[in-house]
Amino acid sequence: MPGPTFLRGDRIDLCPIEEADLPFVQRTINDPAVRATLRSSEPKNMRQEEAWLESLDDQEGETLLVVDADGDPVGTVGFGDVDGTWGTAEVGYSVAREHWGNGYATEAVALVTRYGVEERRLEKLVATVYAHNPASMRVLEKCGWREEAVLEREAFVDGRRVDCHRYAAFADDWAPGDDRARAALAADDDGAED
Amino acid sequence: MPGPVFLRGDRVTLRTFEEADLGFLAPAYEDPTVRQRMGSHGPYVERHERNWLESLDEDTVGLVLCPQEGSAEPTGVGLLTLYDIDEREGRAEMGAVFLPDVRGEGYATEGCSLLLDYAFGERRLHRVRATTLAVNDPARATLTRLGFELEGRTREATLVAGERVDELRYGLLASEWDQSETDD
Repeated sequence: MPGPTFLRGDRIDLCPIEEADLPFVQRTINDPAVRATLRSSEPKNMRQEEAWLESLDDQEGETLLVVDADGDPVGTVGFGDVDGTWGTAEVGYSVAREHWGNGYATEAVALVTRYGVEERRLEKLVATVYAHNPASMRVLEKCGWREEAVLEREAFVDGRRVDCHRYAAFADDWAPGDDRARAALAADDDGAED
Repeated sequence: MPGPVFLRGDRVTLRTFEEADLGFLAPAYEDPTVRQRMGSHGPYVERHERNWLESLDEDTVGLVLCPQEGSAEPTGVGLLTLYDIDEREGRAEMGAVFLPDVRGEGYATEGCSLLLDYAFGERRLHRVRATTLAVNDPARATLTRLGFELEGRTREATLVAGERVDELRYGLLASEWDQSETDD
């Protein structure tokens, strides 16, 4: 059962992660198909998930649960590696396989981008995407991010070195061109008047 | 009951090892011959297994092997481990234990194949080692089938049923594993 809504989107909300959400988080992070899109290569049992949840309290970043209209968890989104002097952080996101293709990641990244720059005074957000994951690059582009570099043979996936594409969003220069991203941001604006 | 799927094969899945799995392997140690063949000389103690569960980290991977049985709840029949993972040297040791009633089903070969794909393809290891006793014919057959080379023999290393037996050390290189994959 996810915690109270923290950031409101159109078809999804972002909520704090509670203990009760860990079975979902654990199933998703261990799924070979999801893992292949993330920087995660070790099995995570429930004990390790519980320790991870506790460790979030000591970190400067935020990790939130992406929750659909039925109140069910569909993924996670957040940022870490915060440098308060530089005003930078790295954004990451994942969506459970059965919820791919619904635009949930786009909404989640749009909400987190605005939260990072408007509430946390971050000035540059970055994200690193495997070259073999164009769907994830589309998510960032829809949210108004742009590619700033290709990190050649940066990572090791499925037995070989692979390129990573590095994306960035600047506080004074990001504008989502996509309907789904704009709908998410508009919903949060409306939410203030509820 | 084991946790979610971490590695998926045609006939088996490898899942995370959870609190609820403590003790499920006890029957594997009941037959003294089998137990000694695995190089285990003391009684099975759940407390020791709990300590092991708590020690799982990025240098120790332990996964429960479950046969695929349609929509039935996953049931663990064995434990596969990749331990002493040394990222600087690029090597690790592999271990496997199975319940008595599933031996001979080929689960070990398929499960270890998945674990080796993971070791070389996802963890970027260079070599994987396995140790067994000369009297453990099933383990030797599995290692040979997987393409492991016999690299060393420690003579009269231990006691099994009062007889001294040799310990065998096997190794498999990433380059050899790629090769055997393309041979399939």
